[in-house]
Amino acid sequence: MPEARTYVAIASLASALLLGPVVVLLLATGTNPDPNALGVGLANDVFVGFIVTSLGMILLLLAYGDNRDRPAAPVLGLCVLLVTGFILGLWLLQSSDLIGDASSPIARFFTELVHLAPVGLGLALAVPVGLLIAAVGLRTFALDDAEMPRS
Amino acid sequence: MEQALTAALLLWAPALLAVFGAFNLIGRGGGAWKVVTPLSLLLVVMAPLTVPDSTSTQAVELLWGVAVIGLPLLCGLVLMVFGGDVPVGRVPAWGRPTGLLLVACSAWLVVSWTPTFVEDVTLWDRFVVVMLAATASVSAFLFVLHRFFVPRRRSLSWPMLAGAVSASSLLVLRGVDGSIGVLVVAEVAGVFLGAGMALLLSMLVVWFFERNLPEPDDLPPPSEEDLERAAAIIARRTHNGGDFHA
Repeated sequence: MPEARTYVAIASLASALLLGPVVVLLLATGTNPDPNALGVGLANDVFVGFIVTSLGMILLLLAYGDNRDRPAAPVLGLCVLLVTGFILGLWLLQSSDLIGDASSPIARFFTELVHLAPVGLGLALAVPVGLLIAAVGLRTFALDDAEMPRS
Repeated sequence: MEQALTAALLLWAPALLAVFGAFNLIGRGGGAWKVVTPLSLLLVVMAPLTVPDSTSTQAVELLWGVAVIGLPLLCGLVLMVFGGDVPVGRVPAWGRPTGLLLVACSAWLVVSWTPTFVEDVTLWDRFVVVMLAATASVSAFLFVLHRFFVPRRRSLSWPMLAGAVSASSLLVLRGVDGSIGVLVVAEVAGVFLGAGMALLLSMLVVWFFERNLPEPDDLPPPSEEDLERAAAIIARRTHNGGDFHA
Protein backbone atom coordinates (compact mmCIF):
# COMPACT_ATOMS: atom_id res chain seq x y z
CA MET A 1 0.00 0.00 0.00
CA PRO A 2 1.45 3.44 -0.97
CA GLU A 3 2.42 5.69 1.94
CA ALA A 4 -0.17 8.40 1.19
CA ARG A 5 -2.94 5.79 0.98
CA THR A 6 -1.79 4.35 4.33
CA TYR A 7 -2.18 7.77 5.99
CA VAL A 8 -5.65 8.17 4.46
CA ALA A 9 -6.59 4.68 5.70
CA ILE A 10 -5.37 5.38 9.25
CA ALA A 11 -7.16 8.76 9.31
CA SER A 12 -10.33 7.05 8.07
CA LEU A 13 -10.04 4.38 10.78
CA ALA A 14 -9.67 7.05 13.48
CA SER A 15 -12.65 8.98 12.07
CA ALA A 16 -14.72 5.79 11.98
CA LEU A 17 -13.97 5.14 15.66
CA LEU A 18 -15.08 8.68 16.51
CA LEU A 19 -18.38 8.32 14.63
CA GLY A 20 -20.36 7.18 17.71
CA PRO A 21 -19.18 9.92 20.11
CA VAL A 22 -19.63 12.60 17.44
CA VAL A 23 -23.23 11.48 16.72
CA VAL A 24 -23.97 11.48 20.49
CA LEU A 25 -22.55 14.98 20.95
CA LEU A 26 -24.44 16.28 17.89
CA LEU A 27 -27.72 14.80 19.11
CA ALA A 28 -27.32 15.89 22.75
CA THR A 29 -30.00 18.47 23.42
CA GLY A 30 -31.04 20.15 26.65
CA THR A 31 -29.01 21.24 29.66
CA ASN A 32 -25.36 20.27 29.74
CA PRO A 33 -23.88 18.97 33.03
CA ASP A 34 -21.87 21.19 35.37
CA PRO A 35 -18.22 21.33 34.09
CA ASN A 36 -16.85 20.84 37.64
CA ALA A 37 -18.99 17.73 38.21
CA LEU A 38 -17.90 16.51 34.78
CA GLY A 39 -14.23 16.94 35.78
CA VAL A 40 -14.72 14.99 39.02
CA GLY A 41 -16.55 12.25 37.12
CA LEU A 42 -13.78 12.07 34.53
CA ALA A 43 -11.12 11.77 37.26
CA ASN A 44 -13.08 8.98 38.95
CA ASP A 45 -13.54 7.18 35.63
CA VAL A 46 -9.79 7.37 34.90
CA PHE A 47 -9.05 5.93 38.33
CA VAL A 48 -11.65 3.13 38.12
CA GLY A 49 -10.54 2.25 34.56
CA PHE A 50 -6.92 2.07 35.76
CA ILE A 51 -7.71 -0.13 38.80
CA VAL A 52 -9.98 -2.58 36.94
CA THR A 53 -7.59 -2.97 33.99
CA SER A 54 -4.63 -3.34 36.38
CA LEU A 55 -6.35 -6.30 38.06
CA GLY A 56 -6.77 -7.97 34.67
CA MET A 57 -3.20 -7.15 33.67
CA ILE A 58 -1.82 -8.72 36.87
CA LEU A 59 -3.64 -11.96 35.99
CA LEU A 60 -2.21 -11.79 32.45
CA LEU A 61 1.30 -11.11 33.79
CA LEU A 62 0.94 -14.16 36.07
CA ALA A 63 0.19 -16.27 32.97
CA TYR A 64 3.05 -14.58 31.06
CA GLY A 65 5.56 -15.20 33.87
CA ASP A 66 4.48 -18.84 34.05
CA ASN A 67 4.66 -19.46 30.28
CA ARG A 68 7.94 -17.61 29.60
CA ASP A 69 9.69 -18.78 32.77
CA ARG A 70 9.88 -15.20 34.12
CA PRO A 71 8.62 -15.54 37.71
CA ALA A 72 9.54 -11.94 38.60
CA ALA A 73 7.32 -10.44 35.85
CA PRO A 74 4.03 -10.40 37.85
CA VAL A 75 5.83 -9.06 40.96
CA LEU A 76 7.45 -6.23 38.97
CA GLY A 77 4.15 -5.56 37.18
CA LEU A 78 2.28 -5.41 40.49
CA CYS A 79 4.85 -2.98 41.94
CA VAL A 80 4.79 -0.70 38.87
CA LEU A 81 0.97 -0.66 38.75
CA LEU A 82 0.67 -0.11 42.53
CA VAL A 83 3.16 2.79 42.55
CA THR A 84 1.50 4.42 39.51
CA GLY A 85 -1.97 3.86 40.99
CA PHE A 86 -0.86 5.45 44.27
CA ILE A 87 0.64 8.50 42.51
CA LEU A 88 -2.41 8.79 40.25
CA GLY A 89 -4.74 8.55 43.25
CA LEU A 90 -2.81 11.21 45.19
CA TRP A 91 -2.79 13.55 42.19
CA LEU A 92 -6.50 13.07 41.53
CA LEU A 93 -7.31 13.56 45.24
CA GLN A 94 -5.45 16.88 45.18
CA SER A 95 -6.84 18.10 41.87
CA SER A 96 -10.48 17.01 42.31
CA ASP A 97 -12.98 15.75 44.85
CA LEU A 98 -12.50 12.02 44.30
CA ILE A 99 -14.49 10.89 47.34
CA GLY A 100 -17.43 13.30 46.98
CA ASP A 101 -20.18 12.68 49.55
CA ALA A 102 -19.31 8.97 49.97
CA SER A 103 -18.33 7.64 53.40
CA SER A 104 -14.91 6.36 52.29
CA PRO A 105 -12.72 6.04 49.17
CA ILE A 106 -13.62 2.34 48.92
CA ALA A 107 -17.35 3.13 49.09
CA ARG A 108 -16.80 5.79 46.42
CA PHE A 109 -14.89 3.27 44.28
CA PHE A 110 -17.76 0.76 44.39
CA THR A 111 -20.32 3.51 43.76
CA GLU A 112 -18.28 4.60 40.74
CA LEU A 113 -18.01 0.98 39.60
CA VAL A 114 -21.81 0.68 39.63
CA HIS A 115 -22.01 4.09 37.95
CA LEU A 116 -19.78 2.75 35.16
CA ALA A 117 -21.87 -0.42 34.65
CA PRO A 118 -23.80 1.12 31.71
CA VAL A 119 -20.52 1.94 29.96
CA GLY A 120 -19.04 -1.53 30.57
CA LEU A 121 -22.22 -3.40 29.61
CA GLY A 122 -22.80 -1.16 26.58
CA LEU A 123 -19.28 -1.76 25.26
CA ALA A 124 -19.46 -5.48 26.13
CA LEU A 125 -22.62 -5.86 24.03
CA ALA A 126 -21.55 -3.57 21.18
CA VAL A 127 -18.33 -5.45 20.35
CA PRO A 128 -19.93 -8.88 19.64
CA VAL A 129 -22.84 -7.15 17.87
CA GLY A 130 -20.38 -5.27 15.60
CA LEU A 131 -18.41 -8.44 14.87
CA LEU A 132 -21.58 -10.43 14.11
CA ILE A 133 -22.83 -7.67 11.79
CA ALA A 134 -19.49 -7.93 9.94
CA ALA A 135 -19.88 -11.72 9.76
CA VAL A 136 -23.32 -11.41 8.09
CA GLY A 137 -21.49 -10.59 4.85
CA LEU A 138 -19.35 -13.73 4.82
CA ARG A 139 -19.28 -15.42 1.40
CA THR A 140 -17.02 -18.42 1.83
CA PHE A 141 -18.19 -20.51 -1.13
CA ALA A 142 -19.90 -18.10 -3.48
CA LEU A 143 -16.78 -16.19 -4.54
CA ASP A 144 -14.58 -17.90 -7.07
CA ASP A 145 -10.82 -17.30 -6.83
CA ALA A 146 -10.80 -15.64 -10.25
CA GLU A 147 -13.80 -13.43 -9.51
CA MET A 148 -13.25 -9.72 -8.91
CA PRO A 149 -14.02 -8.65 -5.34
CA ARG A 150 -17.40 -6.95 -4.95
CA SER A 151 -18.97 -5.02 -2.11
CA MET B 1 -21.83 -1.57 57.58
CA GLU B 2 -23.93 -4.72 57.77
CA GLN B 3 -25.54 -3.86 54.44
CA ALA B 4 -22.12 -3.33 52.84
CA LEU B 5 -20.93 -6.69 54.20
CA THR B 6 -24.02 -8.46 52.83
CA ALA B 7 -23.47 -6.83 49.42
CA ALA B 8 -19.79 -7.85 49.53
CA LEU B 9 -20.63 -11.49 50.37
CA LEU B 10 -23.70 -11.94 48.15
CA LEU B 11 -22.74 -9.77 45.17
CA TRP B 12 -19.15 -8.57 44.83
CA ALA B 13 -17.40 -11.77 45.99
CA PRO B 14 -19.56 -13.99 43.72
CA ALA B 15 -19.01 -11.51 40.85
CA LEU B 16 -15.23 -11.78 41.28
CA LEU B 17 -15.47 -15.58 41.56
CA ALA B 18 -17.62 -15.72 38.41
CA VAL B 19 -15.09 -13.70 36.39
CA PHE B 20 -12.11 -15.67 37.73
CA GLY B 21 -13.98 -18.95 37.22
CA ALA B 22 -14.89 -18.05 33.65
CA PHE B 23 -11.20 -17.43 32.87
CA ASN B 24 -10.33 -20.75 34.53
CA LEU B 25 -12.94 -22.65 32.53
CA ILE B 26 -11.72 -21.06 29.27
CA GLY B 27 -8.14 -22.06 30.20
CA ARG B 28 -7.32 -25.27 31.99
CA GLY B 29 -10.77 -25.70 33.58
CA GLY B 30 -10.42 -27.18 37.08
CA GLY B 31 -13.28 -29.44 38.21
CA ALA B 32 -14.32 -27.23 41.16
CA TRP B 33 -14.79 -24.17 38.91
CA LYS B 34 -17.47 -26.03 36.91
CA VAL B 35 -19.63 -25.91 40.04
CA VAL B 36 -18.44 -22.63 41.63
CA THR B 37 -18.75 -20.47 38.46
CA PRO B 38 -22.46 -21.16 37.69
CA LEU B 39 -23.32 -20.87 41.40
CA SER B 40 -21.53 -17.50 41.62
CA LEU B 41 -23.27 -16.33 38.46
CA LEU B 42 -26.64 -17.36 39.92
CA LEU B 43 -25.90 -15.40 43.12
CA VAL B 44 -25.00 -12.31 41.07
CA VAL B 45 -28.16 -12.55 38.96
CA MET B 46 -30.31 -13.02 42.10
CA ALA B 47 -28.75 -9.98 43.84
CA PRO B 48 -31.87 -7.74 43.50
CA LEU B 49 -33.71 -10.38 45.55
CA THR B 50 -30.95 -11.18 48.07
CA VAL B 51 -29.58 -7.65 48.66
CA PRO B 52 -32.42 -5.38 47.51
CA ASP B 53 -31.34 -2.36 49.57
CA SER B 54 -27.77 -2.10 48.27
CA THR B 55 -26.99 0.48 45.61
CA SER B 56 -24.74 -2.13 43.98
CA THR B 57 -27.79 -4.14 42.88
CA GLN B 58 -28.66 -1.37 40.43
CA ALA B 59 -25.94 -2.79 38.19
CA VAL B 60 -27.58 -6.25 38.30
CA GLU B 61 -31.02 -4.77 37.56
CA LEU B 62 -29.41 -3.16 34.54
CA LEU B 63 -27.92 -6.56 33.62
CA TRP B 64 -31.44 -8.04 33.54
CA GLY B 65 -32.54 -5.30 31.14
CA VAL B 66 -29.44 -5.86 28.99
CA ALA B 67 -30.32 -9.58 28.80
CA VAL B 68 -33.85 -8.75 27.60
CA ILE B 69 -32.59 -6.80 24.56
CA GLY B 70 -29.16 -8.43 24.18
CA LEU B 71 -30.22 -12.08 23.94
CA PRO B 72 -32.65 -11.67 21.00
CA LEU B 73 -30.21 -9.30 19.30
CA LEU B 74 -27.28 -11.71 19.54
CA CYS B 75 -29.42 -14.78 18.71
CA GLY B 76 -30.89 -12.97 15.71
CA LEU B 77 -27.48 -11.97 14.38
CA VAL B 78 -26.12 -15.50 14.91
CA LEU B 79 -29.10 -16.90 12.95
CA MET B 80 -28.47 -14.36 10.17
CA VAL B 81 -24.77 -15.29 10.02
CA PHE B 82 -25.34 -19.05 10.03
CA GLY B 83 -28.32 -18.75 7.69
CA GLY B 84 -25.93 -17.39 5.07
CA ASP B 85 -22.97 -18.75 3.19
CA VAL B 86 -20.91 -20.45 5.92
CA PRO B 87 -18.96 -23.73 5.66
CA VAL B 88 -20.10 -25.21 9.01
CA GLY B 89 -23.24 -25.10 11.15
CA ARG B 90 -25.47 -23.71 8.43
CA VAL B 91 -29.11 -23.35 9.58
CA PRO B 92 -32.09 -24.03 7.25
CA ALA B 93 -33.78 -21.36 5.12
CA TRP B 94 -35.86 -20.04 8.03
CA GLY B 95 -32.66 -18.84 9.77
CA ARG B 96 -32.27 -15.48 8.06
CA PRO B 97 -35.90 -14.26 8.26
CA THR B 98 -36.18 -15.40 11.89
CA GLY B 99 -32.89 -13.70 12.72
CA LEU B 100 -34.02 -10.51 10.98
CA LEU B 101 -37.27 -10.59 12.97
CA LEU B 102 -35.38 -10.99 16.28
CA VAL B 103 -33.01 -8.13 15.40
CA ALA B 104 -35.98 -5.93 14.44
CA CYS B 105 -37.69 -6.76 17.79
CA SER B 106 -34.50 -5.83 19.67
CA ALA B 107 -34.19 -2.58 17.71
CA TRP B 108 -37.80 -1.72 18.57
CA LEU B 109 -37.14 -2.45 22.27
CA VAL B 110 -33.96 -0.34 22.22
CA VAL B 111 -35.84 2.66 20.86
CA SER B 112 -39.09 2.49 22.79
CA TRP B 113 -38.66 0.42 25.97
CA THR B 114 -37.41 1.46 29.40
CA PRO B 115 -37.43 -1.39 31.95
CA THR B 116 -39.47 -0.64 35.06
CA PHE B 117 -37.29 -2.89 37.24
CA VAL B 118 -34.24 -0.64 36.76
CA GLU B 119 -34.62 1.80 39.65
CA ASP B 120 -32.28 4.49 38.28
CA VAL B 121 -33.64 5.32 34.81
CA THR B 122 -30.54 7.32 33.83
CA LEU B 123 -28.49 4.09 34.06
CA TRP B 124 -30.65 2.56 31.32
CA ASP B 125 -30.53 5.69 29.15
CA ARG B 126 -26.73 5.79 29.44
CA PHE B 127 -26.47 2.10 28.59
CA VAL B 128 -28.58 2.52 25.42
CA VAL B 129 -26.55 5.55 24.29
CA VAL B 130 -23.20 3.80 24.90
CA MET B 131 -24.35 0.59 23.20
CA LEU B 132 -25.68 2.30 20.06
CA ALA B 133 -22.74 4.71 19.77
CA ALA B 134 -20.20 1.93 20.27
CA THR B 135 -21.98 -0.31 17.73
CA ALA B 136 -21.89 2.55 15.20
CA SER B 137 -18.16 3.10 15.86
CA VAL B 138 -17.23 -0.61 15.73
CA SER B 139 -19.24 -1.21 12.54
CA ALA B 140 -17.79 1.88 10.83
CA PHE B 141 -14.26 0.88 11.94
CA LEU B 142 -14.70 -2.65 10.53
CA PHE B 143 -16.13 -1.23 7.28
CA VAL B 144 -13.10 1.04 6.76
CA LEU B 145 -10.74 -1.78 7.77
CA HIS B 146 -12.42 -4.09 5.26
CA ARG B 147 -12.33 -1.56 2.42
CA PHE B 148 -8.71 -0.49 2.90
CA PHE B 149 -6.83 -3.46 4.30
CA VAL B 150 -8.47 -6.59 2.86
CA PRO B 151 -6.97 -6.96 -0.63
CA ARG B 152 -9.06 -9.90 -1.87
CA ARG B 153 -12.39 -9.47 -0.19
CA ARG B 154 -14.20 -12.76 0.31
CA SER B 155 -17.02 -11.05 2.15
CA LEU B 156 -19.41 -8.16 1.60
CA SER B 157 -18.76 -4.85 3.30
CA TRP B 158 -22.25 -3.34 3.03
CA PRO B 159 -23.60 -5.07 6.20
CA MET B 160 -20.98 -3.19 8.26
CA LEU B 161 -22.00 0.12 6.66
CA ALA B 162 -25.66 -0.78 7.23
CA GLY B 163 -24.84 -1.58 10.89
CA ALA B 164 -23.18 1.82 11.41
CA VAL B 165 -26.05 3.68 9.70
CA SER B 166 -28.73 1.65 11.56
CA ALA B 167 -27.12 2.21 14.98
CA SER B 168 -26.83 5.96 14.29
CA SER B 169 -30.47 6.04 13.09
CA LEU B 170 -31.67 4.25 16.25
CA LEU B 171 -29.74 6.83 18.26
CA VAL B 172 -31.56 9.61 16.38
CA LEU B 173 -34.94 7.89 16.97
CA ARG B 174 -34.24 7.34 20.69
CA GLY B 175 -32.85 10.85 21.22
CA VAL B 176 -30.01 11.84 23.55
CA ASP B 177 -30.49 14.00 26.63
CA GLY B 178 -27.94 16.82 26.88
CA SER B 179 -26.62 15.86 30.31
CA ILE B 180 -26.39 12.14 29.47
CA GLY B 181 -24.71 12.62 26.07
CA VAL B 182 -21.78 14.68 27.30
CA LEU B 183 -21.46 12.57 30.47
CA VAL B 184 -21.32 9.32 28.53
CA VAL B 185 -18.63 10.58 26.16
CA ALA B 186 -16.59 11.81 29.16
CA GLU B 187 -17.05 8.47 30.95
CA VAL B 188 -15.90 6.41 27.97
CA ALA B 189 -12.92 8.74 27.46
CA GLY B 190 -11.99 8.49 31.17
CA VAL B 191 -12.24 4.70 31.26
CA PHE B 192 -10.18 4.36 28.08
CA LEU B 193 -7.55 6.77 29.45
CA GLY B 194 -7.20 4.86 32.75
CA ALA B 195 -7.28 1.46 31.06
CA GLY B 196 -4.76 2.67 28.46
CA MET B 197 -2.34 3.72 31.20
CA ALA B 198 -2.55 0.28 32.86
CA LEU B 199 -2.10 -1.46 29.49
CA LEU B 200 0.89 0.72 28.63
CA LEU B 201 2.59 -0.04 31.96
CA SER B 202 2.02 -3.78 31.57
CA MET B 203 3.41 -3.63 28.03
CA LEU B 204 6.50 -1.85 29.40
CA VAL B 205 7.01 -4.66 31.95
CA VAL B 206 6.75 -7.34 29.24
CA TRP B 207 9.06 -5.33 26.95
CA PHE B 208 11.60 -5.01 29.80
CA PHE B 209 11.65 -8.79 30.33
CA GLU B 210 11.73 -9.66 26.63
CA ARG B 211 14.59 -7.18 26.01
CA ASN B 212 16.66 -8.84 28.73
CA LEU B 213 16.26 -12.35 27.33
CA PRO B 214 19.70 -13.99 26.79
CA GLU B 215 20.98 -14.38 23.22
CA PRO B 216 20.52 -17.91 21.84
CA ASP B 217 23.63 -20.12 21.91
CA ASP B 218 25.75 -20.21 18.74
CA LEU B 219 25.37 -23.38 16.71
CA PRO B 220 28.51 -25.54 16.38
CA PRO B 221 30.24 -25.36 12.95
CA PRO B 222 29.11 -28.03 10.42
CA SER B 223 30.92 -31.36 10.63
CA GLU B 224 32.55 -33.11 7.67
CA GLU B 225 29.55 -35.40 7.44
CA ASP B 226 27.11 -32.39 7.28
CA LEU B 227 29.19 -30.75 4.53
CA GLU B 228 29.31 -33.98 2.49
CA ARG B 229 25.54 -34.43 2.79
CA ALA B 230 24.91 -30.79 1.74
CA ALA B 231 27.28 -31.18 -1.22
CA ALA B 232 25.43 -34.35 -2.27
CA ILE B 233 22.02 -32.60 -2.14
CA ILE B 234 23.31 -29.63 -4.15
CA ALA B 235 24.91 -31.96 -6.73
CA ARG B 236 21.71 -34.00 -7.09
CA ARG B 237 19.52 -30.89 -7.53
CA THR B 238 21.96 -29.34 -10.03
CA HIS B 239 22.08 -32.62 -11.99
CA ASN B 240 18.23 -32.90 -12.09
CA GLY B 241 17.65 -29.31 -13.21
CA GLY B 242 16.68 -27.94 -9.80
CA ASP B 243 13.65 -30.19 -9.25
CA PHE B 244 13.18 -30.17 -5.50
CA HIS B 245 11.59 -33.64 -5.32
CA ALA B 246 14.00 -35.30 -7.74
